[in-house]
Amino acid sequence: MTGKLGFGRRGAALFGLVAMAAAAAVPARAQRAEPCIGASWELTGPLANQGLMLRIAVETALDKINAAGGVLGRPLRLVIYDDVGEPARAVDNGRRIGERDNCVVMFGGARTPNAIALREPLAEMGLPWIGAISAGTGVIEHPNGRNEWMFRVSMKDRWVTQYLIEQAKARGPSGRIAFVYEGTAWGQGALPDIEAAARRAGVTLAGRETFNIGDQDMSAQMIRLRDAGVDTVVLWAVDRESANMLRSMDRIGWKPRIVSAWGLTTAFARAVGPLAEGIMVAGTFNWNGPLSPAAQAAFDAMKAKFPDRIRTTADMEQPSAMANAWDAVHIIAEALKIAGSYDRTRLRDAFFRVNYTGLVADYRPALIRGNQERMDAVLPEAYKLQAFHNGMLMPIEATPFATRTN
Amino acid sequence: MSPRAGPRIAVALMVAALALFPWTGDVLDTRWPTSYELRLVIRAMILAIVVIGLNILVGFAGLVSLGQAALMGLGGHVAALLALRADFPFAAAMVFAVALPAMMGAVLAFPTVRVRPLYLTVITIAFGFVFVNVLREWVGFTGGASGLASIPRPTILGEPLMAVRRTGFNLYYLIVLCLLLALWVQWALARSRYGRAMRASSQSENASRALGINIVAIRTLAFAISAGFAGLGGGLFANLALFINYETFTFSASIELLLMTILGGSGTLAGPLVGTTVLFTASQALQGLHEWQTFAYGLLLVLVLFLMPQGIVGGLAALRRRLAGRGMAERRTGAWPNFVPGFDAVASERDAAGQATLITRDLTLRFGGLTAVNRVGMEVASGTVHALIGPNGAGKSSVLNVVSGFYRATSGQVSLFGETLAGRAPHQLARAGVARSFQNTELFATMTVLENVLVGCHSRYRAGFFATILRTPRFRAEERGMLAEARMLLEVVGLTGFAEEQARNLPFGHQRRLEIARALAPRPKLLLLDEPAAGLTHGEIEELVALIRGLADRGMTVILVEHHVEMIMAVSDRVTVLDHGEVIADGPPAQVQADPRVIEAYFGRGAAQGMPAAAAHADVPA
Amino acid sequence: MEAVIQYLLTGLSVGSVYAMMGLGFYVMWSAAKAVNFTYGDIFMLGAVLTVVLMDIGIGLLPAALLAILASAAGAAAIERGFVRPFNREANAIGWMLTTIAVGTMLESSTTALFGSNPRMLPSPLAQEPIRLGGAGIYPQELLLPAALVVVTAALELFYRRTLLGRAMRAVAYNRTAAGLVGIDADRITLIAFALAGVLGALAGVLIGPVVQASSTMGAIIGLKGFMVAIIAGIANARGVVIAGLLYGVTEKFIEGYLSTAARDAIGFTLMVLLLLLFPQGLFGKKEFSKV
Repeated sequence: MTGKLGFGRRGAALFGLVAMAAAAAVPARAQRAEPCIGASWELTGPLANQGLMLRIAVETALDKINAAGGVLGRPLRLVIYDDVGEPARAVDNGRRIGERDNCVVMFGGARTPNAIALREPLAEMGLPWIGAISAGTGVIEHPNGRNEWMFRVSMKDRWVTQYLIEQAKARGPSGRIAFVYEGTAWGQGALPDIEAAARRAGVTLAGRETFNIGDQDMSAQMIRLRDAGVDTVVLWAVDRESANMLRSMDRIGWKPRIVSAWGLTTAFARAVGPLAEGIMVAGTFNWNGPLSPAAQAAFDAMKAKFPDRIRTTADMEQPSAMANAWDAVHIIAEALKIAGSYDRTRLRDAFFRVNYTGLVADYRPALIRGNQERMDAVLPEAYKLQAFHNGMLMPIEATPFATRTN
Repeated sequence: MSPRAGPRIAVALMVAALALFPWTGDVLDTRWPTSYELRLVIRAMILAIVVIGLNILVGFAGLVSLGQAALMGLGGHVAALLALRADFPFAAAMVFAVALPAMMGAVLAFPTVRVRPLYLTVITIAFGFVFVNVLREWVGFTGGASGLASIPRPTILGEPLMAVRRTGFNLYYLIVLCLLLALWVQWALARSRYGRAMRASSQSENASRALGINIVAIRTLAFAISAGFAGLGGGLFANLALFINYETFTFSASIELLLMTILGGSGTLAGPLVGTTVLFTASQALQGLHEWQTFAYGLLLVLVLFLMPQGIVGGLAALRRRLAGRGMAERRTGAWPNFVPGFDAVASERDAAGQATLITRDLTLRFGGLTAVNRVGMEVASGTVHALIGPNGAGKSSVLNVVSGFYRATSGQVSLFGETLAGRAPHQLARAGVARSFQNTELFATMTVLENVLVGCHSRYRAGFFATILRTPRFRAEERGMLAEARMLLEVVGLTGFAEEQARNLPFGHQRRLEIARALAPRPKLLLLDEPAAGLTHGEIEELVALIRGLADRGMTVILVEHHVEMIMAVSDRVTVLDHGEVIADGPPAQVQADPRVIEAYFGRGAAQGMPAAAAHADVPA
Repeated sequence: MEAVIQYLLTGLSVGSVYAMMGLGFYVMWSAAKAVNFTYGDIFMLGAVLTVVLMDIGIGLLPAALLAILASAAGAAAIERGFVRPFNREANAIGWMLTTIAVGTMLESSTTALFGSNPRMLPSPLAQEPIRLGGAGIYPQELLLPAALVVVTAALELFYRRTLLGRAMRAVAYNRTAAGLVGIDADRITLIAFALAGVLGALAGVLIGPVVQASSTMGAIIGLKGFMVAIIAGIANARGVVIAGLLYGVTEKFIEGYLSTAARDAIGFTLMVLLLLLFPQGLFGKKEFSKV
């Protein structure tokens, strides 16, 4: 938002400063980094579960890599700090990872603002960053066009909105589509993206409604949408508020079609029971469908390492993010092998040369230099539609909702 | 070693440590501190600035804010928006970042602190939520939840402000400077009439008002200052992070700031530094506990609050006092009254002799259906001792409370010093020359004896707020003068030996003496004494009589509410007797004593006199 | 029209929660001139413990009852351990901090043990809504205003008719004097906090089936309950109930006709304005400050 206003002169000045800062930081970076992945996740608070799920995926992946001799002959370890969901703490943690722990790479958490707050410190320290959740478009596509250090193995809101609008349009006979989003950076950030996507698809949004984290009743919003004749809702929210929204729909006896971004997980289905049936969710991966041997092995390893958390595939509560994180760790390992040493700049450069077949996609190449759009490794082609069926989030093909109505 | 040397050495060491910190690596030849450690120290310093402001509010003025983080956020967003949207230079943006939150603080405090201090807490909670909600939803202006990114890096003297070697760590030193400035303001405030008035108003509202302190103004000032510091911290934070969104300034951040204040020791000068350092370090050190770290943080707080309820610095100070074992036994109590030579000057601002100091006409006061004072007319001549007596519930104290402005008369007229007084507040009357004591002594319990008297001098200072904070020579001369006068008043009541003792530690009789000394500090023309002899020994009463007589002889008018008949006869020039809110007799003591109505009113009821009824005056905590 | 009915219905149900929380604050404040800032967490414990107890096979009603009793015991323990020792002086604020710290511990340990995800609290009354044209309400939500009426009436009776209740009023009126006539004010305060604990946990259990149980469900509710009690003047049970219901309904109408996103900003601003207009609270009596 801010970048668009005064990009020209200020952007250039900013770039100059960043470049100077980077130059000043060269002595620090020339030092060999440690074989560690530093992470700043939410370990406490309402989204603590996301941190936990990321930890399960990353630690298991590292175990597998280390069991095979590590990377460049050394075991790769994970250092985790809690950011309590707050940007200032995320930057503290980023500095700690980059300077004191001197890790070779940083692993991102869930929240988009935390990633945005890290833009400049990462560039200043020359510390590569890989995100597995935070999907905000601006995390990777910096307004100044000069992202050099931040990469993502996850979804990107600009692509997700387009994907969801297409799905909604394909399935909704009347085209009366509304957008419902949570009042967070993730939700608000998607609003301009969805407006653009709707324009491109020739759809006029019939309603835009928002609610706050912790809200327990969305009757007012649902009544407005129902009265506007909406029949398809594109949803941008996480489990708890979505469950409360479903309750509000149920209360007023309104049951529109819902296509959702990936905030909905099995916890949502547990909370609302049969109301979840048929709700569609975009994602990058699904563990409840048929699994490839590699995916099966990954799941078995996680189950073995965290037996009291992971018993069945339904316990993979962040299915897409866990698969993303699994792939991201492997991409880091591959890139380190190409770099040939624990050096951050060389690691960053090596990212552009990684070709790797992961759970989510075939990354060929994973990332492309000088193209901000392709500093996202997962392309829209890899997005998969899933749906809740009998309380489980299944690949859409495995549910009765696969057929399109038109 | 002089007692002042300790703190001075500590401050010098701290300044030296802060000044050298960025260069430690050059001395020790290691790569330390890294930008991580520098950032932590800078963040801690910024928080300390905010906590110092909160300490002025909580520790001095006794008010609690649970929205301090929002005020910090206001400063941060003002600085960020001005730089981002209006191209303001750094210094100009910072001026607004301090001024706007300070103004907001005044706006929030002014209407609320008058009623109940708790309301300020409630209002600040609400403000915090409204602030966060507005920031989040006003997407076009504040960036919404995504916040404001790419805030232009500030420059100073053409150099970018950064905490890196290339710029000589200029940002770091700027923040050190701000911290020292905050410490200075806190220190200067604590040792000034403003700081004393804040502490006094938190310990006894009534006594403060009776000494000429405008409670609403002083509390509003305290909150404005603390909000200004919050804004300063927020502005610095925005310029450090170059990214700002509401999540840094939520309710839980406000709680954390308050905890830092209390943990360090609210009201102490070093408390904010200690509290901030300990909690900030703890939040980093507890990172290893992963999902249990917030729990450990809470546990740590509870433990500290249990072990040191006055905070770390407060607890240590109490411990040191106990170890030093400075008992009361060695204190020498002086004889009183001791009308030292300089005292006449204090008591000399007399009302024009012969003129009636106080005239009431048809004075009536009703509480709901109860008539406490009914059409009372009395005249108190200047330079006399006028006793107001009567059985319990006769309305004596109510008359006193109307005259001193605490109650507003339902009807009737009161004129003081020749002027009609209608609805003037206690502090205005105090400034006009009315002083009073309280039936249940209302000392400022945790302030020293000397400070208690100095609070009495509050309204006589001429140096303004900025002169006080800057400690200009004129202010310092004035302060020295007041100090000398306060010491002289202690001499008069024989408490010189107790000057540095906390008032609550005084024996009861001494507390009465102190209250009178304090009431004399504003140089009143009219002194109202509400049962000053209650609880005193026979000998003490005789001394009190000598004091009152001495004051009247020097031209002061004294109105005395008392039960002690012997004392009244000895000291009064004139006596007014009230019963059931009405005047039943009025005249010289001997005449009144012989009046049958008085005898009936008094001796018809008998035993209950002599002792004030404590329960009737038990204060309902507001 | 059906929208108006909907806002009234849901407003009354959420307003009942605020009112019950406000009542709890009123009960605590009367007895101790201090409150328990973990009260939102007591509310949360009511719902979360019910889910946990049901997990180990206990039925809904006994589980709810046990959860409420356990939460009340917890509230009493908090009074004994963290309020009383820090509320000895007239203007003490220590209790504010200790209870906030304990609240932090309660919420974070619940997150660590129970998980950060919300869980369903299954109730037969929250399965099928009752529909009134285009509006609707779960029977569970109707239980809330009903429970509120019962609780308020019971509280009034308790305060007026029972010895314990009268003792509580005596302590509220004048703690020292109550002590002089032989009332153990400390014990009464403990019981008052436990009673408040019952109210808070009951509200949590009743709303849990509609909004799910989670470790963070109580934070905002607790604060709103506190604000409601203050706005009402915190010295009058019926006033607190009316203020709570009014605030709940007002919130829904703000959502319906002004803004859903800015609901709290508008609501809190309204509360602040009310407080400035009625410094003694909407239903408070003017106090004479005795000198």
